Amino acid sequence: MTTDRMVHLTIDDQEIGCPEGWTVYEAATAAGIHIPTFCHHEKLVPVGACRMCLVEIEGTLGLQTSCTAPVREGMVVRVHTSPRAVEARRANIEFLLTNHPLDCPVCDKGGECPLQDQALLDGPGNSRYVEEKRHKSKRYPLGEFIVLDQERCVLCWRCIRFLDEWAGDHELDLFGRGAGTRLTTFQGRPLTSKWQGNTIDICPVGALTSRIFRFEARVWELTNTPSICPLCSVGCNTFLGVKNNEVRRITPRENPEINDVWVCDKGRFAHSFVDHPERLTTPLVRRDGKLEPATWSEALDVVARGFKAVLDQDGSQAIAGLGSTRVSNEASYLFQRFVRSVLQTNNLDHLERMPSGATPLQSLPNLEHRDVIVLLGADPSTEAPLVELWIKKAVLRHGAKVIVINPHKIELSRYGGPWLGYRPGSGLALLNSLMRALLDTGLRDRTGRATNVDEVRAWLEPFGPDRVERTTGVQAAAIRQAAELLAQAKQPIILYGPNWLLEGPAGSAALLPTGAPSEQRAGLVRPALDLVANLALLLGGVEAGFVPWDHNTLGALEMGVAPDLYPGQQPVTDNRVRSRMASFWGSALSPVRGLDFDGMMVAAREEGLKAMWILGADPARHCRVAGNLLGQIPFLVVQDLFLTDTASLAEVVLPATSFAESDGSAINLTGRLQAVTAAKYPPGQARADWWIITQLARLMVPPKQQRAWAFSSPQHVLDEMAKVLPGYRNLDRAAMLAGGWQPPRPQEAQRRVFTRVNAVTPKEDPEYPLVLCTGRLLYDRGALLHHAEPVQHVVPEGYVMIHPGDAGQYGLADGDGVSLVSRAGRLRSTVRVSDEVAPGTVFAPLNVNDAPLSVLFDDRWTWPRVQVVK
Amino acid sequence: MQTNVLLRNVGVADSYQIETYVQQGGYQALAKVLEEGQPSKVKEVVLNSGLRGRGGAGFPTGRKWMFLPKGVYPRYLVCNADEGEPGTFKDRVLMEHDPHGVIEGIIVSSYACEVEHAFIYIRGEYNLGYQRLRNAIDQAYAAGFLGKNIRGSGYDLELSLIQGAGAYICGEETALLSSLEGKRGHPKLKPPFPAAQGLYRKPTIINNVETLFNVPFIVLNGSDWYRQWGTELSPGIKLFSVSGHVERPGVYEVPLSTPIRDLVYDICGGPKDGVPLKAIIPGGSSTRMVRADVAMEARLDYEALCDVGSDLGSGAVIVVNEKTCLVRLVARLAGFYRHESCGKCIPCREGTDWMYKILQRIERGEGRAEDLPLLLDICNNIAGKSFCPLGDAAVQPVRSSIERFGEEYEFHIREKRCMVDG
Ligand SMILES: Cc1cc2nc3c(=O)[nH]c(=O)nc-3n(C[C@H](O)[C@H](O)[C@H](O)COP(=O)(O)O)c2cc1C
Ligand code: SF4
Ligand code: SF4
Ligand code: FES
Repeated sequence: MTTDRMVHLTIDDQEIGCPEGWTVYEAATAAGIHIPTFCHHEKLVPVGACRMCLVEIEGTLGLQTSCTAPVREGMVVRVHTSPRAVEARRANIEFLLTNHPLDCPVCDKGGECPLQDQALLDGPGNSRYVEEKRHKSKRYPLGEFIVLDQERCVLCWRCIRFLDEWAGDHELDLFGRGAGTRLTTFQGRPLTSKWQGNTIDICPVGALTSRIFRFEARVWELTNTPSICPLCSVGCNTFLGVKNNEVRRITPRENPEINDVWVCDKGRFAHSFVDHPERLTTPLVRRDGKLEPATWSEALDVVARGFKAVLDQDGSQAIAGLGSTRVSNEASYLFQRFVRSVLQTNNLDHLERMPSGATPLQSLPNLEHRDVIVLLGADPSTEAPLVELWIKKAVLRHGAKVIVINPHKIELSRYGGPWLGYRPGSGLALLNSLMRALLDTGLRDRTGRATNVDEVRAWLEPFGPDRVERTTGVQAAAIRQAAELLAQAKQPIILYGPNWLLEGPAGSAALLPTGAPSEQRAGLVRPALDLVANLALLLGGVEAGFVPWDHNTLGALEMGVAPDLYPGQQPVTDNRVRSRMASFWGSALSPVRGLDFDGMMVAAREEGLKAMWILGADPARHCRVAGNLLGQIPFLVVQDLFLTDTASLAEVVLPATSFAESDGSAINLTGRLQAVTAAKYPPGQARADWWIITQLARLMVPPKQQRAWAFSSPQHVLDEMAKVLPGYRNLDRAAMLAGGWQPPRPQEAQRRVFTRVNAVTPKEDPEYPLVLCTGRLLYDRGALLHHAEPVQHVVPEGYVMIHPGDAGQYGLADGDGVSLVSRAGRLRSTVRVSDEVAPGTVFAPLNVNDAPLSVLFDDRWTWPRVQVVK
Repeated sequence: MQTNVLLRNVGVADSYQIETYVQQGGYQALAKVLEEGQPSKVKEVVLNSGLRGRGGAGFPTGRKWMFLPKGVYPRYLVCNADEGEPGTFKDRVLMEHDPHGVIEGIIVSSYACEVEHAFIYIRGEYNLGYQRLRNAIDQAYAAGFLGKNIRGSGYDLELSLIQGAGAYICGEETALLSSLEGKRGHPKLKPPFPAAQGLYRKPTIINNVETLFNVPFIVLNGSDWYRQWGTELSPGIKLFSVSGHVERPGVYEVPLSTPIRDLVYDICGGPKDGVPLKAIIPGGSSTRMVRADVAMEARLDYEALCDVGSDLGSGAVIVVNEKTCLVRLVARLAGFYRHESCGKCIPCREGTDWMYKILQRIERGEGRAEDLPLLLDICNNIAGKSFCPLGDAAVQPVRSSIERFGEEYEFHIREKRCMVDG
């Protein structure tokens, strides 16, 4: 426990002041006095086990472990000036080395090994050990990702403690005793923790090695380039270790605001898609119906002529651009600039758009200090793992409670908080009911700031927990328990995810085309957002943060890859904004709002859409309907890393670079702008998005506009973004590189009024008695992971999870092969019987089957009703 | 010279049954304290008696009890019945022959410390002791000496009996607590000391069986009565487990400060078969061995044994005669510590392994001249550096034997054979 009081002590004759509550080790380290350690790690609770850090403290008997000894006023400590302590540490290294295999020449840790360093610094020069060394297993796989060398292990416990203290996954432990002590898992079961890779970093020797990196390179052969993990919205800071132009290893880069010193296993181990042999290495142009390799000038020429022809014949309304939540800001910015100024249209969108009105989370580290965390249609463990780690910190260190409001249980349900497992489609009724129960608790008058509390009481009248039990499938007691917890909470927070947005009145899936005009779409998401705001207001105006799925979800919106918004989320219909943009971009701009993706698909169906450019998205894979429609667009251009389902429909395919191969930036879920740096050359002729867009623009714009497209690097693009985006004027590039730059947050008007939300009862359909809900797994066969072999081993086969009661009723047993049948289609799957899903609901994970789940969705994109038949 | 207080029920027919115990005057100390209703008075008399812990460390029991933080509940009391120290078997006799005495000691001490849940952690191999205690606890519950509202006093006490699983380290108090909590038997960091934060992080008193067994007698007879025996710093009576080369090994009760010679010659019948003695290990394998001639001049109390460079320990007197090869004996003991080291800290885990390997090599006749200084060096590097006292304990037989019987090692190394086997 650190307090504000300062303590003064002397270490090796140096006078030191440090806060009360520090350990001697911390004080010494801060003063630049090195004390060797093995078991101690600054992120773990000290255990004082290894005895490596012994020092002499005047007035105490014997030597003390500095990693556990608290500082005291006037203390006199001797580290290097005490012959006894020096000798004890030398002896300790000698002890360790007696049975250490000393196979440094073939050890992955060699070159960055604390044992090596300390043996060199403080250890004896030669060995007095002539006995036979102990033999243990040299190659003991602990799981899919890690191999243990039990001979190298110094039994420091760091790996065990990390999994216990941070991940809450008590999977590793010591077995046997004394000299025969071994590290292993319970009953030899494979490690499953998604955090296991971190144990490799904190292991002070080469005992834990990555099965992916093992023997790939000596660490000093790697060039480590600072980067950002592209696999979820957290954007963990990393180093990409590259050798011979291949990414060999990813390690975390410390950032206290985001990932501390950790990274999840997906981010660490799933990098092989970067160097995958199926990466596109040349542009492809369709000739005689077949995609054939072409040069860049050929391909760009075909694209420029194709777009021009459509513009000339059908006008700019017949053309559209679809961007992505996964590409850099620079790519998104230039892409929309191109579509708007060169193609002269606002027909622009991206999938999985963050709805306007959803607010980003303010801070990750702050999660640690929340006492009640509500997860609403969000599963951080699979969707944004670092969020889970911060939540676990709150739970494991401070006893926070987690309320899970989700049709199926999630990993964070393990802490025993209430689970409100509602039937998909009844979420609005459930949340109304939770509010009603909250009002019933009295709430200790948190609602002061709201102006219409009495109204809300009246609206919520019909939503008593007992009355919604039947529609939602949630027991009244669970709702009341959650309400009780929330009423007591001092620092609650609500986190909601994309799945919650599907709880609109008719349901709506931002990621799936509905065929409905976009205004209506926005109207569909609205109630789900309003309810979140209502709940936050009822709790006293607490924070509610959206947890998106993709890497640059916030960036795509902020850069204006949207039919209605310019960069900085400024409306395209605002004349003043438009003329500003026009002057920046040196071209007149369309004053009308463009088509969103649904609108584009409607236009495609009606044959009004003649050309489309898709950047880094694969709608054909996620939606059968969209795939068919995209196939009907006469001139489709796709820019991607792989020949995706969508790319195979294109006239021209442009090979793009991955996050490892180009500079750029991205905005993470808390709104931090972070730099990504190129760590290697792209494969073959693949080129960065900004380059491709710039080249194409130069081919298409008239001579006097050429200067507007004179970008020669992504940094130039960023220069322009800094001018164009409100709030980016003071962009701090150094900060952006060092740990992220936080643009000023727009001042949100404090909400004071509850919005009435009427919950509709989902219609029953006796023929299709169950409701399907979907969700993400941590490891799946999605666009990138599909090309990352090491993690493909841990992706399960597709399954459908069904409640034991329902399984009994329909005569289904675990492992049964079944068909999932909806009014729209059918899909083969395997049954998993589990009470982790609510009765009446079935859960099937996204992106694991060969056939996508979207075959089951119809045009309305509510959660489909299904039957499960053998 | 022998006293008959602690062992008074041993040898009585059915001594382990509650009726016998009560007939012999049992549960009277409990009745007395309940009647007086003043826990602090019990603490006081124990403090004044000067009773010291019989588990090995000899810490004054009354002082330990005073460390309990005021006003923090629940508190626990743990009776350490792990008895793992080689040479020690006195607690076993008490548990097998006088289980109710053990229980009464626990109840009275728990009452003194305001504990409402006590535990007995018994060595896994003590089968008969376990059964007798199990039976006695059930009887005590049935008779209302345990459970709710004991004898109408309003005082509640639960007593749980837990078996160990064969690890010596689990006799060390913090490792014992880890084990009780269902965790790996690893010692825990001190401070916090158990009295402040022990079992489940609650204030916890841990005492040896014999320590607690003394308490009812002190309560009934007073501290002056107890102090009629022994010395100022080592008052009272003590059980000694005598093993090795004497005519009548066994458990004996004598006042502290009894001369070793009296115990060995008069009580235990002297050296077995008249073979002259070579060494005495006076307090269990974790105490330093002493040359027999020196030991015979010493008394069995904390101060006197310290003066001859050893310790009272758990009162396990191991008598070694001249026909015994000390190198082999020490190698055996080193093997014990190597096997029992919990593996948590480097000096003990690696040091005990190394010492054992060297000693075995010397035993095999492959010793080298540099081995003795090396062994002493290893001893120095373990002692005071390890996490818990097991490491220090492991050093004692090795260092004391090399220092005091170096010629045997030298002979072994030089002649590549044993001095005594011929
Ligand atoms: C390695 C080791 C083993 C121990 N084994 C025992 C034991 O078996 N029984 C025991 O009473 N104390 C044992 N102790 C001593 C205990 O840690 C503790 O000091 C004792 O139980 C306290 O009780 P007392 O004060 O009544 O002696 C052991 C200590 C160590 C370091
Ligand atoms: S594997 Fe590494 S981190 Fe784990 S106990 Fe062994 S040395 Fe320590
Ligand atoms: S000294 Fe160290 S290894 Fe030995 S028993 Fe104690 S903690 Fe375990
Ligand atoms: S680092 Fe202090 S004991 Fe291990």
